[in-house]
Amino acid sequence: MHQIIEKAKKEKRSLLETEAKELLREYEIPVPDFKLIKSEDEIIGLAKEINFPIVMKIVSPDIIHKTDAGGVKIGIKTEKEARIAYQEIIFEAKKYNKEAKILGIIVYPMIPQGTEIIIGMMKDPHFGPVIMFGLGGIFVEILKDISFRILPIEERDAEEMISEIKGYKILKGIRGEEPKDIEAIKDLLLKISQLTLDNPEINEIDLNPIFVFNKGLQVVDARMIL
Amino acid sequence: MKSMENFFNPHSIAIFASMKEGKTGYEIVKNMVDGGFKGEIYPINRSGGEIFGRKIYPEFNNLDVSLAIIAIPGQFISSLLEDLGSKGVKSIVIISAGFSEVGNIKEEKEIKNIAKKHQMRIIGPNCAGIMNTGCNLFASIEVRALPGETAFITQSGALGGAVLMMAEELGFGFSKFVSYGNRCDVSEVDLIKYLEDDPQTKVIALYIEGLEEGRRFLAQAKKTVLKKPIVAIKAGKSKAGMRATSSHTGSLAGEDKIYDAAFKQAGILRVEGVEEMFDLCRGLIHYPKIKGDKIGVITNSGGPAVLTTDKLEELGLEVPEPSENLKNVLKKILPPHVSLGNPFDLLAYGGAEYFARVSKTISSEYDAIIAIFVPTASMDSVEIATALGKIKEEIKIPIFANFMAGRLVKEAIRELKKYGIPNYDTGERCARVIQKIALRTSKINNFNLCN
Repeated sequence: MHQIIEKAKKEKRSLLETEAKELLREYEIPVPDFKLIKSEDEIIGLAKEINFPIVMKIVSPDIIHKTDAGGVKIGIKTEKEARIAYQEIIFEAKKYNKEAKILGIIVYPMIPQGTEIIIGMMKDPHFGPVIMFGLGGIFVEILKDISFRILPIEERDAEEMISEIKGYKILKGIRGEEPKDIEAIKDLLLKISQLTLDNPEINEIDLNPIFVFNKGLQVVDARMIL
Repeated sequence: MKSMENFFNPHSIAIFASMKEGKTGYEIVKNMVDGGFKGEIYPINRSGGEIFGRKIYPEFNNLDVSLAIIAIPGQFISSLLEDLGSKGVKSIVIISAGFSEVGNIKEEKEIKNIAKKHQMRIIGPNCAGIMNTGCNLFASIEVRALPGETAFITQSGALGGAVLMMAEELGFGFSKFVSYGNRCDVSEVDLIKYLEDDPQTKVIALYIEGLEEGRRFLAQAKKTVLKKPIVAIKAGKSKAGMRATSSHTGSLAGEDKIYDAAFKQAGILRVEGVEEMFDLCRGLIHYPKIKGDKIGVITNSGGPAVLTTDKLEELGLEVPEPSENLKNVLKKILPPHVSLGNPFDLLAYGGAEYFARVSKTISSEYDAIIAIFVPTASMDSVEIATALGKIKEEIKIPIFANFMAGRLVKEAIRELKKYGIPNYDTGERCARVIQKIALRTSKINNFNLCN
């Protein structure tokens, strides 16, 4: 068992965002540089490690809906702003749930908006682990333009998953736009297939959103449930 | 595997059921006798007496039986199974109901355990029986299937019966019919595995409500589709959100979407319902593969050809124009007013000779042909059917027919059938069949490349 998972299991919780991203990194899946800060003082000199502007998010096993808890701040431009944001996030989180165990705040650079996609994994009672792919935003929420496959998948399955959604044309580039990096998406699907196989303790994964660019992609937010 | 073989090719069969007129046993014995089963038939019931000139045995004793059909009340089944098991009968079909389908899981488990102990295989319980037209085995209460090359496996007995009736109307035959009911032992997976090597079966058709062992099914189907096509109806499209999940992904994954994905991954052709299943099976029996997606449409009538072309294109198939070269060849063989584009509209010249000539000529550039014919006063549809039939043997690409309609072309359709050309009431239905066959072809080519 992976030590990150072992630790979370011992503490009877799912993976923290920082842990999920660490695991993704081990599979060479691109995630924005991040740091977990545990006190306001750690903000001093942060700009040397993480490129501003940044995103700050609460890290707590007891807070799942971070936005509802006022636990997300974006577009923070300076260390001074970061200190204020830090205080606000902690204050709001305690107001939201005073019992909540707060492990710190994750900070990572704001990355330029790419085409949003989502990838997920869940376990079906009859087929076992399945993987999902779709374009983010309204495409998944309203149009349910998503594709599934039973894991593990092979390269051709990944190709089909990407090309069978209606929004595929958007990835290929519409109205003279450059195509998005479809190879990178394929590679990510295959890596999540492998990650799931290697770590059977993970029951559900949400990578949402993922930004895809003309070259490369970044997994902006990640959840893994044990 | 011997026990699976015994299900379909038994040398003798015992039927445990009520033999009173109209009762299950009576109907099965009648089906077996009328169907001309060549092995021994042993009706067994305490009443004794005779049925269709055969002795009814009051007890099983030590009859030499390779298949037992059971339709007695549930509470007597366990002891009968123990008896049969100790006497070496290995293959059992239990038609009787009243098990897990009504919540009686305990008794179903019990019969499963007895089967395991004696190494018996069980189909059912709560099923409509099995058939093998290859040896006139009609161990079922349903209407006898005509001989054919499609094996039909159904989870629902009632639907199975209805399909057999519909097939009879259509003149559509089956190699095997299996209603597997509650699937306490023999499952779709075992049946597909057996049918994969069954020489009488060219196409496997499934009606599924739910799978028990999704992953095993997937692995088996992936292997089988390389040898023969699998067509499936999956009922129950709206059970979304039944599982407890906390992720976004979980909330989006309806059961139907998962089945759809699994079928795609395995190369199983999913159809919407019974009608489409028949259509597709009729096509696949003759044409398990189509090498590409360029379709040539030959017609003697504009309207139906346009509808067909629209549908083909909507489904992602191509209806390309012929090359200049081909146009020149066609110019030489066709009357001056005939269109040289695709669809090839032969107008009033659309006699047998032209249908055959154009089919042959364009076969070099297209992957399949749809021949549309609407009878006119001066043209004999049977002659056209014969001409197409003969040319089919010469050219290497599939010909599908859309002779329309009704009694006007009844005889011509029979003639087409003789040559193995499937006819569809509309060109749109032709198009749907072609699209699915093309899909299967690209899938298995892909599988083969990867293996």
